Amino acid sequence: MWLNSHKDHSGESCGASIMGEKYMKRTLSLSGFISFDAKMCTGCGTCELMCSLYHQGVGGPALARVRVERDPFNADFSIHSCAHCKEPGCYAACPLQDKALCICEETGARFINEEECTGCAECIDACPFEPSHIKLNEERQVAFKCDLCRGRESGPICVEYCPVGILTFIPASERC
Amino acid sequence: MRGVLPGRDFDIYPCEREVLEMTESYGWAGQVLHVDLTDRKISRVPTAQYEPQKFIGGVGLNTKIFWDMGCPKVDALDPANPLIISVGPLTGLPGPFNRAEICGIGAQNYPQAQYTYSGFGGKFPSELKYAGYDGIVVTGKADRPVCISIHDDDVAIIDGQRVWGLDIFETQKTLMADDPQATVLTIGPAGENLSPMAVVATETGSTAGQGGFGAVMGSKNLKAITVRGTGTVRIARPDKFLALIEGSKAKGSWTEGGFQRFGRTPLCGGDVEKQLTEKHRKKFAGPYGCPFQCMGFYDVPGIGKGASMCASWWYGWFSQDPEAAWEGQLLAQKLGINHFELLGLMAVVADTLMEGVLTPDDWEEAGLPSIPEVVGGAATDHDFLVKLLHGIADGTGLFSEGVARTLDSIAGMAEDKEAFHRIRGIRYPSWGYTNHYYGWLGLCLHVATDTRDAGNSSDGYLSFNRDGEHEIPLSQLGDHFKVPYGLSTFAHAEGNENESNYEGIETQTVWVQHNQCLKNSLPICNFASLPNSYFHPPEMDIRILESMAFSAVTGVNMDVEELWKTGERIWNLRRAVMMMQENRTREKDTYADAFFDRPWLDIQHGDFMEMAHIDRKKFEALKDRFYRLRGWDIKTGWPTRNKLEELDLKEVADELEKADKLPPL
Repeated sequence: MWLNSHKDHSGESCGASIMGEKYMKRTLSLSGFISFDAKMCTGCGTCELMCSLYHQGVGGPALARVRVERDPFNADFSIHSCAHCKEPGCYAACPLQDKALCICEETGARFINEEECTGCAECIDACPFEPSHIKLNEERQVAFKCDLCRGRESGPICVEYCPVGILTFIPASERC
Repeated sequence: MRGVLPGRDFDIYPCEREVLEMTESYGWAGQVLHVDLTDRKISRVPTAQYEPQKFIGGVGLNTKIFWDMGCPKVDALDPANPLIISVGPLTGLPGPFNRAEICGIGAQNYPQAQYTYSGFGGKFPSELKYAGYDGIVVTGKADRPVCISIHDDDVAIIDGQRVWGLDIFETQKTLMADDPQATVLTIGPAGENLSPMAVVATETGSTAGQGGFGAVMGSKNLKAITVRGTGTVRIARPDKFLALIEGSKAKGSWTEGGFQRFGRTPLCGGDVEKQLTEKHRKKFAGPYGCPFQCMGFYDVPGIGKGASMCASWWYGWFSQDPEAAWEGQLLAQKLGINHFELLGLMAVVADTLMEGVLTPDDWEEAGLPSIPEVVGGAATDHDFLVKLLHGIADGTGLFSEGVARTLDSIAGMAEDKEAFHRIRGIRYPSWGYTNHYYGWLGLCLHVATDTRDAGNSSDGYLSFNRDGEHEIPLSQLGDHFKVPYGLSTFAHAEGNENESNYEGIETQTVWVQHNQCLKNSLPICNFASLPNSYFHPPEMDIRILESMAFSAVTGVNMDVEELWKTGERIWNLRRAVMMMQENRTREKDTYADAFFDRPWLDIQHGDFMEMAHIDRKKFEALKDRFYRLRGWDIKTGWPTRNKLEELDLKEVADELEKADKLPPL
C-alpha cells in the first residue's frame, strides 16, 4: 500500500524498442547508473536535497532529480533514480535529439541541455518508469533529469552525501 | 576576517549589516497561516509583519507572534490560548535544520499557566516550508473534532471525527490514505482527553514531548494537521551554502556527530540495549534532510515497530526486560504520552518505595496499577504498562493529570510529609517538569529563569562541564567561548574533594540561553548546536557556522556578533512575555526548597552518583550577577529600557512601561 512498485531497474527494456530502431542514429555508449541498498535506507531525503541544492540552487524534492519513496511506519524506503537506459526512450523521443536530450561522450550519461530544451515533455512521457524519472520545471518550462552530476569532480553528489552510504555508482563497465 | 580550510575559503561576513530588500523570498517561505477554529476562518499574514530579520523563526517567531497577540493571560486549555507552530529560514534544506517549534501556554505547566516551547522533527517541518509557510497559528475551538488540511495554497478545516479516538500511528495512516505524499502531525487519545502529559507527534518517533501541547490541541478539538507541499526553499547564495556543507564534510563534521553515539542504541543501556540493538534494530532513523540520523528503528515481533531514542527508553531504566522496555516505548508513543514525564513518574514511585515514604499498598490505594516486580511489587511489566498507560490516556487513571499535580493531590497519604515533600521537590523542582541534571549550576540558573525543564538545552551545559561528552578538552571549549567549565561548575556537597565555583557561572548560562534561542529559531538540531559542534577554531565553530548558514540562505548578512545579539533579543522578548503573561519577577526565578536546604543525591552526574547541595546565598548572588550581565534590574529581574532599546525592542519597552513592568531608570 505504501510503495508504488517500480519497474525493471536495469533499463534494459524501454521506449526505444517500442519506437523502433529508426529513431536511433547510432549505437549509444553505455552509461553508469546509481544503485541503492534498501536495507539501510533511512528515507532522510538527503539525496533529494543535495541534488536540488547542487543543480538548482534550492532546497526541496520537487526540483530533485532523484526521488525517495517513503513508508516511515515500516521504515521501508526506496530510491528512484534514472536508469540511464541502454536504449533510452527519452533520447529516442526528443525532437531535438543531441541538442536537448544528449548522450555524454565521456560518461554515456543521458542528459538534458536545458538551454535547448523547449519543454515539450516527450521525454517525460517516453520514460518507461512510473512516475517518470524526468520532470518538468514548471517555472522555466524545461525538462530536467539526472545527469550523474556531469562535470562534478567527485561524481554524483547524492552518492557522496548519503549519510548511511546506501547509494553506489555502478560504472558502465559493471552494468549487466 | 577570512577563514581558510585546506582547499576551501570561508567568507566570514563583515561587521556592517548589509540588509537586502526584504528577504522573505530567500530562506523564509513568506507567510504565516492563521486558522481560527471558532470562526472557521483561514487567513495568511506576510511573515514580514513579524520582523523575521529580528526574530528569525521557530521560538523567536512564535514569541513575536504571541507578543503581538498581547500575551494572552489564559489557561492552557482556553480557546484563546494560541497554538503556534513555526519553522525557520533554514528548514527544508539539507542539514540538521528540519525541526519545528510549538509554542503557547503549556498544559503541563503547574501550578501556573506559562508560555513555553517544545520541538519536533520528522518530515512535517520541511513539508510546511515546501507548502509555502513559515508558521501556523491556531486559535479558538472547533465545535466538533476537526483536522486542518494544507496542500500548498489549498487550506481547509476538515472532518476529524473519523480519526478521533485513533492512536498516533493509525491517525496518520488513515489521513495519508487520502494523500500518500502528505505528512501528518497528530495527537493521540491522551491529547483528546486533555492530559498534561499529552504530546504532539509525527511518524513513529518524532515528538514535541514537553509542554502538554497535545492537550492544547485536544482542547481545540483539533486532532491533526496534514501538510503536502510542492514548492522549494530558495537560497540567496547557494554556492556559499554548498561550500559550507562541503567544508564541514571535509572536516568530518557533516555526517558524524549529532547524537549518534547515544541515540542509535537504547540509552538505558544493559540488556535492553544489547538485545534491542543486536536482534531488533532494523536500521537508523531521523528527520528528513538530516545528515546525522541519530535514532534507531526497531521491529519487535508481537509488539510492533517504530523509531526511538533518548527518553523513549524510559521503562528500560527500570526493567531490563527488552520486550517490556519496547512495549513501554511503543504503547506510550501510540497513545501520545510524554516519555520523559513517564521517566519522572517511575523515578518518583521508586523513590517513595525505596525510602519507605509510601508502600505498594499506598500507591494502589491512590489508584496506581499494581506495582511491577522491578520496583518491588508483584505485577508483570505488561500488566502494569497496559493499565498505567491506558489510564493516563483515557483520563481515568492516576497520573493522567500529570505527575506534579498528581503528587500534590496524594501528598496527604504520606505519614512522613517532610520526606514526601522533599522527594516531590527533588523530582519535580519547577514549573511542573521533571528534574534533569540540576546538579550543574549553570543549568540550575537557566531553569530558574525559564518556563520548563532544561532538557531542551541541558546538553549545552553537559558539553562544557562533563568529561566524556565529546573528545574536545573542556578547557579548550571554555577558553574559546570564554565561559567556566568542568567539575567546578557542579554544586558539590560539603566534604567533596572538588570545590564548586559559583563565580562566572552566569556567563555560561547566558551563553547557553542565547545559543538555545538561536538553535530553536534557525532552527538547528540541539545536538548539532552544542559548543563542541563544528569545532575547528579559529575558522569554524557553531556560532560561525550558524551565521554563515543564515547569511548564505537568507541573504541577510549577519556576522557572529549580530546573530548572537539576535539570540539575546529573542531571550529578552521571552522574558518580556514571562513578565506580561505570568507576572514573572526575580522572586519567581527559583525552584524547590529541597535543593537548597540540604544535600540531595544527583544520579545524573557522570557515571556515578554524587551528593549535591546548592548554597542559597551563593545562588542569589549568582542571580545578581546574571541580571547585571544581562542588563536587567537586580531587584525585579526585569530588563531595563536601555537593554531593550539596545536590542531594537523599543516597542516592547514601551508596552512594559504601560504595564508598570519597566524598572525605573
